[in-house]
Amino acid sequence: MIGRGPAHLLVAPGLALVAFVFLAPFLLLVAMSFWSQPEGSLLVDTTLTFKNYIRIFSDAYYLRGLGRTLWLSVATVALALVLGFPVAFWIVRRAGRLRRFVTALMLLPMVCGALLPTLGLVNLLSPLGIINGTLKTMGLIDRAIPLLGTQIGILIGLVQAFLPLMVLPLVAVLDRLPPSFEEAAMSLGARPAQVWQRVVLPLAAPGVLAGAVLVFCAALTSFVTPQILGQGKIATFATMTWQQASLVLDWPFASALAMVMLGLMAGLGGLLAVLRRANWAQT
Amino acid sequence: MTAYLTIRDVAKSYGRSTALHCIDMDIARGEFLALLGPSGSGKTTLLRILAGLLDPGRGTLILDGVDMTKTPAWERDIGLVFQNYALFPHMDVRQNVGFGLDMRGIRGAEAERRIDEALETVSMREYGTRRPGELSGGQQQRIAIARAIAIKPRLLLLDEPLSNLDAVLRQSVRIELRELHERTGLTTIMVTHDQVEALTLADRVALMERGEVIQVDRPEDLYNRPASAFAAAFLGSPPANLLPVAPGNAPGTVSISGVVWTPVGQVAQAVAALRGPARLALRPETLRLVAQEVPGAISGRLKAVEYMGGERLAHVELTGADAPAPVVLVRSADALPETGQVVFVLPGAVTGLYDNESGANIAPATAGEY
Repeated sequence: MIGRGPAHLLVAPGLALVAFVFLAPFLLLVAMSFWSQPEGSLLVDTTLTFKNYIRIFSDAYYLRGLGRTLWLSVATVALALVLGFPVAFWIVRRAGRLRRFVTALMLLPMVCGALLPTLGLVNLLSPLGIINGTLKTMGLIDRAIPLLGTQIGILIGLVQAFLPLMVLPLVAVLDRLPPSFEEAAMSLGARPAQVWQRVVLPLAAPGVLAGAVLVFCAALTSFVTPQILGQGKIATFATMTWQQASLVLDWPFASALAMVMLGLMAGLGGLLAVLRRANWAQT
Repeated sequence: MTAYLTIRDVAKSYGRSTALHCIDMDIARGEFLALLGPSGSGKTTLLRILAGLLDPGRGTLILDGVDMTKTPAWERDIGLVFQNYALFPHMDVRQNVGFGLDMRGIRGAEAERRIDEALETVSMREYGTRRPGELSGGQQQRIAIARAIAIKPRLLLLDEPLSNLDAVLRQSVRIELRELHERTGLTTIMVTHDQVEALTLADRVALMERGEVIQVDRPEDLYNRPASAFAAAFLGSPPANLLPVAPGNAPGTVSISGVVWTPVGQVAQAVAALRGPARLALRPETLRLVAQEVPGAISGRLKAVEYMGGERLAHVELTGADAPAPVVLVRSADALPETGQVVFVLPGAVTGLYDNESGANIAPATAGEY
C-alpha cells in the first residue's frame, strides 16, 4: 500500500494557493471592513470601528442601493424560475437528441464570461438597437423605449446571464421524476394543473430552491451586468463597492459593503440549512 | 357475451412505424384479461390507450356503453398500477391512497373510511403513516393497488405487476392478485410478458405480436390449441417443437425435413389434413422416448440431456434429415439412455399444424385435445 504522506503532499500546492490568494485576502477584507479612512485622506486608520457599517445602514443612498439590489435579485430569481421551468421540463421530457446541444448552448454564456453577452445586450437594448429599431420599423412606437440605463434593462441582462443557473438544477431534479408519477396522478383524477401543483412542483422543490439560491447569489453580486447595462445610472451593491474601491479608493468602506453582501448570502445559506433540516425531520 | 369494454378498430402509429394494427376486442364485466406478448408487441401501448395516457390514432373505446375514446385520463375512472408503482414519494401511504379521493372531492371521514377499506383489502392497514421509500417492493405494490382501487375504478389496469418482484414474492403476489380479483370483482386487464402469469391469473389471454392480437382465448385453449405457429412457439417452457413437414410420397406418410414418417392413431388423423408444406407443433410433454422402433415413432439420436429437477429435457436430433437436422425437445420423467444413442420419439398428440401459406392451423379441432 502506498503511504498516505505523499498523497497529502500532492494537495499542498493547491492548499497553499487557496490560503495565499483567497483565505488571506479574505481575512484582510474582514479586518479592513472594521478599519476606517479619515475624510480627505488615503491613509487607513486601523483602530477597529463599526463606522462603515453604521454609514451603510444610516445613509439613504446606500439603503436604497441595498433595496434596489435585493429587489433586482429577487425579480431575477422569479423571472428565471418562470422562464426556466418550462425550458428544464422541455429539456428533460421532449428534447430527445437535441438535449446535449441545448444543454451546451445553455452553458455557453456561462463559460465565455459575462462581458461578451452583456455587450451583445447593449446592442439589443440601446435606443438605436435591434429591439427599438424593430418596434419603430413596425410602427408600434414613435420614441425609443428606454432600456439601457434602466432597472428593466439590468433585469433583462441578469435573467439572461443567470438563467442557466436555474435551469441546470431543475433539469437535475426533473430527470429523477419518472413520467409515471404524472400519469399516475392523472389516472387518479388529477387535471394537468393539479398534477403540477400536487406532484411535479413539490417534487421539483429541491431543484427550485437550489436554482433560486444560485441565481439570487449570482444576481446579488453581479457587477458587469448592472455596470454596463445600467450605464452608471443605476447603483447596485456591486457597482457601489467597485466605485468605493476603485474610484473613491476608500477600501475599508468598500470592504464593509462587500461584507454586507456576504452577510446576506450567509444568512440565506443559514435559512436554507434550517429549512432543509426541517424537511429532513419530516421525511 | 355482452361486452363491458369494447375495443373497436384501435390503431396507433408513431411516424412510419406502426405500434398497433387495428385491435378489436370485447371484455366482459368482471373478467380478468391478460395482454401477453414479447416486448414491442404493443401490449403496453394498448394499455396506455385504455388508460387515456395515449391518444389512439384511430378507433373507438366503449366502456359500459359509453364512448370514452375522447375522455381525458382524469375523467375515465380507471385504476392504473404501474410497473414501477409510481407512488408519490412526498406523500405518506394514506395520502397516496387518498389522492384519487381528494381529486374527487371526497374528504374527511368518508375519505378516511375508504382509505382504511382500500388498505384493508391489501392487508396494509398498519402502514398508513409510512413513506413509500420505507416500504419493500412488495409492500409498495400493494399500496399502488390500494391507491388504484380506492377510487372504485370502472376498470383496473395492471402494467407488468409482478416483474419487479423476486421469484418467491412473485408466486405469493400472483395468488393474492387472483384473490383480490375474486373479492373485488373488478374488470381487470393486465399486461405481461410472462406466460405463467398470464396463464395462471387470467380468465382469458390475448396473445399479441408486432402490434396485433393474434389470439384471444381461455388459457387452456390458448395452450392446447394455439391458432398460429407463433403462439405455439411462444407458449410453454420449453415451447412447442415446430417441425417443417410436407406430404410424403406414399399415402399416409409425412416428410419431416426429408425423413419419412408414418404417423398412427389420432396423430395420423390430425396430420391427414396436410396438403402442402406446413409446420407441425408438438409439445415436449406430449412426446415419449422409446428405445425400440414402434409404429408412429420418429427415429433420432440423443444429442443432449438437461436435468431440470424431477424431469429431464432430451434433445433428439432427427436422423437422415436434410441439414440442418431438426432437433426435437422431449420432456421425460424417466431416466434416459446415454447421449449419442439411437432413440425413437413417439408423438402422443398434435398441438397444431400450420400451413406455410396461410399460417392457419389446419389440424381438425378435436385432434389437439388430450
